[in-house]
Amino acid sequence: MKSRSGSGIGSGMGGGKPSKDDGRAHRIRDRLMNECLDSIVGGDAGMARAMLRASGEVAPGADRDVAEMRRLLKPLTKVAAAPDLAFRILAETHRRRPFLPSFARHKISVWRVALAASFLGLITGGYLISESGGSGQGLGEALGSEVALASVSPAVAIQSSVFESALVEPSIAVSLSPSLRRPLLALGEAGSLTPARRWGVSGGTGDSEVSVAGGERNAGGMASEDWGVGVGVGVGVGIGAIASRVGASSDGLELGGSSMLGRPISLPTSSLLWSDGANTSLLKTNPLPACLIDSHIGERVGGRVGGPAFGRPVMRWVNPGFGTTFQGTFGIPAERGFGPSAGPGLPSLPRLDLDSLLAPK
Amino acid sequence: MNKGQELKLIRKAAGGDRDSAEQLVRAHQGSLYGYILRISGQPHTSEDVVQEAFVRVLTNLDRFDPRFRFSTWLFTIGRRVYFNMCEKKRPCSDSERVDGWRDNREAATCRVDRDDTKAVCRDMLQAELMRLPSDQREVVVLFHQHEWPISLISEHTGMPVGTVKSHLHRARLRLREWILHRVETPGVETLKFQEAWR
Repeated sequence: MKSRSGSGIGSGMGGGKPSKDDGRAHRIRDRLMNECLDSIVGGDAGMARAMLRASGEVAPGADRDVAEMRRLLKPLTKVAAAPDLAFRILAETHRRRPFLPSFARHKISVWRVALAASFLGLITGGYLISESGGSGQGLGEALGSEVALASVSPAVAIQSSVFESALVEPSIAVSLSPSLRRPLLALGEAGSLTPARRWGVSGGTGDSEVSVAGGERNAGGMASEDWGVGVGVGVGVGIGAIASRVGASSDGLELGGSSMLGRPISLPTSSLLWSDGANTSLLKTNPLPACLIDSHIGERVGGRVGGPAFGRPVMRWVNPGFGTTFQGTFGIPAERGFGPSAGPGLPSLPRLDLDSLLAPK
Repeated sequence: MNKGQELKLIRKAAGGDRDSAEQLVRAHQGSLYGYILRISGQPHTSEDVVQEAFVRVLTNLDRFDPRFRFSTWLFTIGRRVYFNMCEKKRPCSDSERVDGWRDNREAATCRVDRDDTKAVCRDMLQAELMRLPSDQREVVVLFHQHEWPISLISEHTGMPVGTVKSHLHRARLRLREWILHRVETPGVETLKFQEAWR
């Protein structure tokens, strides 16, 4: 039988009773072999060569150990032939979270959305008239359309919106949010209670969520606190996120921030926290365009809206960023039956008159 | 594929683009499969793990942190899926597991009659790998098969760098001892093993 310092396979099984010095020499060679292999695989073969040269006298034959070990481990570097699992993987992925067609993936920059929202807000909602509201006081009430931009990351949502500050009587809102990812419609409802405090509740079925919001706002003041807690629960997913909202508002303008504990729900619809005007809080990074239609039943007084019912479609675009999603929201008021009752001295902006448009010629 | 291209694909796939997702799968399925196959020794398990890992990754792409390597993230999820699967399918007793290894080794020996000596060596090495403790096996596979630096392996496995090195060194010595012992065992296969490994 060959000694350990012999060459080739089998040379490692030396015979005879090992002496104390032999054991020490083996340990040195083993350690050297390991260090050299670490260097070689780590891309520093020069270091391995230097170590072997330097240890030539202390550990003769270490170079053969290294070569032998490399031969033994060589089959590891050959990657096993893998079956093509792409089809299976993509099919399963599509089942859990459908891929989108190209038109639905079209990204619209947040600035374009903002511009479009502002434009549409001006031509359709930037009016200073109110029929049954009566009061018509304050610039905030004059801005009838919602323009909201939100930067939503998985952890923080910051939103600014222009809203109507006048508070309303209890009302019910129903939102429909057709989803491209999931075919079900999301139905939600929201209500506002008491002028001093607001509670928004939206619940839904299918792929929507339930959210609860509470807050307090002093509508008459120049600035006020607006706080709330939102709980998002996704059907089939469980608790998605707990969001707290903190913001300050003044007439006509609200700046708010939301922070979330946990992850946002992995569902396409988002929380709709309905405050006393047009205030939508979207807490979900939602990489698809969606259309949200809010329809209100009830009477709202003191602001831009009057009459027993009105509809307000809200378009929402989402620009999926990388880790951060920007989204823009704007509303197109489609109220009926308004009359000019803007406060004295307030400028008047053009608006669409649906009655005249829809009236038979 | 460089990192920039990969990030572009990830962004598109996160936005719901099927083609980009497919490219990502095709680029990484082989390495993930090889990794899981080496640490599990079971092709069917590896396929299941690869599928589940990719599905989880693709449905959560928006959570990917682009500061890290995609493959590292994928391997981490694959590893977690594999260990979860092992927990569910844990053998009733250690003897069951040992029998599994023995089967692998016997299968490797039986294949010696074939002329495919390189494949035999691979099987043999795999069988000996399966005798290693799972920590050591994983470290050897990541270091020698995937050429991951030790620091990355440490991060991936959650072990300190020193422990990773120690596992790696012990595993190599054990593998050498076992393989050489088998090669020296008299039998038909000895010459072929020697020939193949030279």
